[in-house]
Amino acid sequence: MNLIRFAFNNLYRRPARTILTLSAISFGIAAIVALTAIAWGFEASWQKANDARGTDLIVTRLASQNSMPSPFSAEKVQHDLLMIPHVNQAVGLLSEMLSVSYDSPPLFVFGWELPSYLWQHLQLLEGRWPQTRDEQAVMIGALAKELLHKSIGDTIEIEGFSYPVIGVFQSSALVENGAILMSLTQMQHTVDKEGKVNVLNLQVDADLAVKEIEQIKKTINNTFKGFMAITSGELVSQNAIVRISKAMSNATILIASLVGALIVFNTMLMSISERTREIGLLLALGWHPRTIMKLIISESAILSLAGGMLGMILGIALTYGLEHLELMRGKIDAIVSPAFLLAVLGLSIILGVLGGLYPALKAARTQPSHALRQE
Amino acid sequence: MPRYFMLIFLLMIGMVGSAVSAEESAQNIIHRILQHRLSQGFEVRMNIEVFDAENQRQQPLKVALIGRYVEQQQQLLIRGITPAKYTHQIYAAEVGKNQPPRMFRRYGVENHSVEPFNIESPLFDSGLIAYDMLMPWWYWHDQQLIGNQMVNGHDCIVIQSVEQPLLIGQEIHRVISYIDRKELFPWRIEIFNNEQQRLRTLEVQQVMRLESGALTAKALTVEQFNHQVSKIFIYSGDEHYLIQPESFSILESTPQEVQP
Amino acid sequence: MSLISTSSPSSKTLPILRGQHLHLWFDHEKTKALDDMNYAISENEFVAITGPSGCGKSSLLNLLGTLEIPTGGTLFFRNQNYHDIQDLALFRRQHIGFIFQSFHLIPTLSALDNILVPTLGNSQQKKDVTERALDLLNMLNLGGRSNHFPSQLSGGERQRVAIARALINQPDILLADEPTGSLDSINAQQVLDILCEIKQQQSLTIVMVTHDPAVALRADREVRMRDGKALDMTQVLT
Repeated sequence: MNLIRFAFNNLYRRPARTILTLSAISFGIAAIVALTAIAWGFEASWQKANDARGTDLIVTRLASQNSMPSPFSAEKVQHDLLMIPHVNQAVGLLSEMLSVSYDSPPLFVFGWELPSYLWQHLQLLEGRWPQTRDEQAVMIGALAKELLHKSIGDTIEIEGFSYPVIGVFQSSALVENGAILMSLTQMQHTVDKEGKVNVLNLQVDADLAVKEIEQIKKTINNTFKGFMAITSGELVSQNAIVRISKAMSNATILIASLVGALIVFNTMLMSISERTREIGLLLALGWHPRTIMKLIISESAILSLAGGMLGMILGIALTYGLEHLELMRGKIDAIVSPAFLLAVLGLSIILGVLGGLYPALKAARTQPSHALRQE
Repeated sequence: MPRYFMLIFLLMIGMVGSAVSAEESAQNIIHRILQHRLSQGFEVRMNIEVFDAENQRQQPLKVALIGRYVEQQQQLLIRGITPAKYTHQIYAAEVGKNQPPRMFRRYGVENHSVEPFNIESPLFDSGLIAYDMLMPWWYWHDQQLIGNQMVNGHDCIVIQSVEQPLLIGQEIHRVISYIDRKELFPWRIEIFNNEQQRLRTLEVQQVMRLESGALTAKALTVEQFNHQVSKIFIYSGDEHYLIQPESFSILESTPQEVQP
Repeated sequence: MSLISTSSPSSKTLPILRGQHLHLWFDHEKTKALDDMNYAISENEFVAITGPSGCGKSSLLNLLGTLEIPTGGTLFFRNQNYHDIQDLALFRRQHIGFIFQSFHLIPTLSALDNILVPTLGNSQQKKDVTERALDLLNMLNLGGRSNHFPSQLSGGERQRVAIARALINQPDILLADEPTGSLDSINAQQVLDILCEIKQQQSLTIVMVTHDPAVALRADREVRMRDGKALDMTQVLT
């Protein structure tokens, strides 16, 4: 018999309430685990896409979040960028988020300069690559193939044009796996943006240090008016969707924590008010008010820790389920790290302690003689 | 320190310069609204969802617009993208100061026949109407400031434009525009006919900023008198579209058959 | 006002508990639970406090057990003024044991665990206290009952478990509030036998509140109370 066992025993006395509280906490923790794992996975997936492409620097038009998307004419900028020492390649890319059928959500459609190094990191699964930049054909990522239920020989309608699917590719990046890909020239024609790109991908000398790349970035930012150069990592962290998903996961953490702490608070308050006489008895039997506090906080910490563990399992299951849900297919590549799970457990203990603090203080201040008179 | 004051002073002048001052006339404001709209060429692609009076959603459609707004004249090329029945339907419209609005439709992919089209008519069975996009009422003579009103949290001045007498085939007689005091951007437009019946209301929900600093609509709704509601969302665009010499060639072609 | 003799036949030493001019008021003087009460209780004495309900006997017990602070007057424990005790919880744990009419056992704990409750949160050796608890169970003829829950025990057994719980911290004083009030006469006699026995064995001082004159007869001395005062003093020799 020790204090912790006594605390367990007290929780066991009201199984229905304990289970309800546990499930409420575990749902909150599950939401935290799932959303955070998804948000991080999303960012990592973008990062992977950029790393895989072998791009060192990305040059885009200066734009704020709410501004009109502004593709730019590649030719002049491309030429000037290649004049910068150590810059080997400046490859144009035009991408848009487009709906290509009524029953599937919008997908990324990429136009990549052909030939260019961008194509090299893709792995051909079926069919063939486009042969010329003018070939009216598209490639689809392995996930896009499943999402669109299309295979080689089928046609896909993009912005009023019908294109045959000539190949299926696999990429290490989820974003690309769920995308449709064609030559830059075709893409420009499809969306009526002749000669324009969103992004120029720069590849520099392979032996260049990070510091020197940073220097090139500075040069571009200073000399190309209206343009900005960023490293691929910066692009990912500035991506609106990445930012929104991270903000959402942060908001979830905040709200779920608050609700979790309030649930523990409420449960413990209920629990001590129906045990007033017993708390009075414990004090009469020589318990120190500090021991009463320890007991109540142990109970709430056990509740929230157990809820946290259940929630973790639930959250991982939820993430796994979402990843395999048809609707979400290819949009989620969640990351669940041990450190993160440890942090979640830590968070749930903190919730329990915080939620149990006031009830514990209240219990410790019980007047034993009054409490013992209660029936 | 003096440089600092100078900066504040310049900022204040700038603010007074762009926002509408109390005494400014309607004509002046309209002049500046038109200045804000100027573009050597732009392209936008929009997704349109149409809900009928019973709130039934029809198949969504995609439309591309190419426009050129220069001093005294505005031109628009409208092209259906999807669904297939609208693909290759092309319209061209033109409005300007001291000239009647014109609009043509090209039909038939092969023979490229061109026919006149009523600029006030809905396009693609939706609330999209060339007249509303070109806003020729800014060229009318009778313009009055009739008050101030908040529209969805935006401080707006209200301008009433009235046309008399009407041109042949013209139904639109009066337009009330709610113009953002600071941005000179219309958040809401109400269009009336000669019988003072409201034909439709356009309301902008979301905006984006152009490179020039002016606002343009990103999401808007058009509610017609028959309670059909069209939700328009701009999903792609290019504000530096290179207008080709043949872009507006439809407007130069001779219509094959002129209808009254 | 009445004075109680400080000497008793069973003890020639200083009183273990002493109170002078005690007042205990509730509700802003409306209820006077104790009104200028004086008492002295000797070491190893068994005192019964009797009187009609509402006479203040339970209030006196609460004061003795430091569960209540007097409105006026002074209490002493072996010359130590209650007022000077820093840690009342520690004082209770070291010197006071409580038993109640309705036992107040924790229903979800076994007899053994109930006895161990007062030791929780202390830095006592777990093995030692468990051994002592088992000894107490044996002493109180509850040897085979250690794993039984309160609902599986008779009334008399429950009160014996409660007595063992009161004794686990080896107190000097046992405060009993109507300990036989919920028991039939056979079990009541048994409990009283036990109280007398442990008083001898463990040299305990027992203060028992009861309204039953027959029960009070088992004590060394009876203090009768009315309206918050001790009425007179009767010395009963066993």
